[in-house]
Amino acid sequence: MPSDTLPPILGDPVAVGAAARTFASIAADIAATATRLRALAAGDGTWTGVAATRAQARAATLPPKLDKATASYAAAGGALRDYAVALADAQRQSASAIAAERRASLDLESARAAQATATQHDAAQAATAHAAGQLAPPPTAQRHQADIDDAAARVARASATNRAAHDDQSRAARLAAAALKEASREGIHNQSWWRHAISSAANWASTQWAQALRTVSKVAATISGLAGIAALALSIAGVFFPPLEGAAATLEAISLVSAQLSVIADATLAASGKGSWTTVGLDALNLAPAALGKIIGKAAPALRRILNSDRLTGVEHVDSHMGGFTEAGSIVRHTKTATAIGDDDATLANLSRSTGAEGHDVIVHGVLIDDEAYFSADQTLIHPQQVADAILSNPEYSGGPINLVSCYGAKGTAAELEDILGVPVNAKMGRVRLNPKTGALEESVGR
Amino acid sequence: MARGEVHPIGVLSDMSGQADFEARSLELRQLVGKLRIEPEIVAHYLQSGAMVLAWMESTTDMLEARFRVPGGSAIRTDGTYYWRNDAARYVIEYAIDLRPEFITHASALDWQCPEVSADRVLEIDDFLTNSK
Repeated sequence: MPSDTLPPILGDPVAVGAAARTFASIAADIAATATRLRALAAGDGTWTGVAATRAQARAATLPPKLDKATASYAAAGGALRDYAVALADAQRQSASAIAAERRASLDLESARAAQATATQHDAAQAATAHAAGQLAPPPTAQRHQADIDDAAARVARASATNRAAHDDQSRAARLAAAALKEASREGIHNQSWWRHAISSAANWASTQWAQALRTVSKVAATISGLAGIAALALSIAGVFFPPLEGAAATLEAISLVSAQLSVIADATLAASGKGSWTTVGLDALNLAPAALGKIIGKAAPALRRILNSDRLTGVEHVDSHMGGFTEAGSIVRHTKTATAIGDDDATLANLSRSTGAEGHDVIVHGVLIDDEAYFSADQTLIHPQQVADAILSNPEYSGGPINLVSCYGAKGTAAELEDILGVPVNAKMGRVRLNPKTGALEESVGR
Repeated sequence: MARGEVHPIGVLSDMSGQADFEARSLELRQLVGKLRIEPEIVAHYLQSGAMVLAWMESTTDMLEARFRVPGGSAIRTDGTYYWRNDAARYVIEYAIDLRPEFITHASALDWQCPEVSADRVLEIDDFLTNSK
């Protein structure tokens, strides 16, 4: 990749899309609750009298507020869904442009070399002719100018396309953040509605309406938990897309508000003898995701590690030490013979098999996009420079040859790493792993 | 039975990389929503299998691009059956149906994936490597 080429667009449209679906799901839950409360407020004739009339009158104010929340959550979900699509499109466009620019750059280099050779040849021919007192033959170097111009134009076009993809991604991120902010202002962030809702609910709690309140409590707790998780997801996304950091903060507020609604509703139930104080305690735990969301901005990589942690079956203990994190937040591990990026079982399995017999093993996932290889860790594309940085930060690496344990490495990423590090990089065209018995780099047949 | 022999759980035992596996998208799509057990229970079992062929390929959901899995075409096993590392995600997202004999086998284990010894993993590795 030419040094001034913009890198691939980082980020995970899959994670953003999942957050969008979570919001849509929350909106559906609130809408269902509003429908049920409307039915309860309408009355079924089993509760009559002045108290019932007053409670029902106050209850009537709750569904409209829930409608507002429904609209807000739905809008937030829509904004994230749109961003996920825009991000995926921009990533595809950028990857394709980078590949085209790489090809055109190679063509340009080749055409310039051919022209230089031709210029030397022309000069030699002219000197020979001059010495013989003859006319010099027509120069040939100019014939290569068209190829040079064509390749240069293709480089410029591809570079512009890549820039446009980056601009599209930035624009989409700003739009998403603005839409989330608007959704927050319209209802999600408005605390007055739930305070009002609690006032209505408190009147119901002393009678058979306690069941309705349990519904409010249950759904609110669900909202809190989901919004808290969404806040975590967005905080992670915010690491890659700075404009979304503000949105994550907004979601923390959602989680806190919903959790408070749940806690207060349950407290009301407990006070009236129809609920349990244990429940109140459990609901208070729902505040935890929001609190984590605040921490994640500073400790995103560690949390990613926790969220991605699996039972490490089939993976032997690895005597490694932390090598920090890549810019994208993936964990880096160092051993005497290897550098590994990522925290999944396949990466750890290969790390445990490293012997360093074929060079310093560099273990990182590879992915093919338009038949071009890219490095990938966790669920994100990472730049070869980040891989190089991870290797160079390993105190055990002394600058020798690299054994690249990354699928499709010979289709581009190995060459890029070789350019950066200036050492030979052994790689394969297909899928690879380290053999569990020998530790040697092994390639799979097929694609 | 050959030493190290293990059996496929269905389409999700395909040992190909992303490009070749995509050729089976129609076959996979026909199994969507047909799993008759809680997907979370099945996915937990699949995710708990021992890692055998640890291919370093990141794969993408070939049905609707909902997820990516680091090492998705790697292979896991419970000592009797084997499957792709991204199988759990397909089951969670799409309730992909699996072979009835595998369902019976895992149900008998109360959906608790057994530990697989390191020696057994190597035997299975040999079997799968030589069966390709």
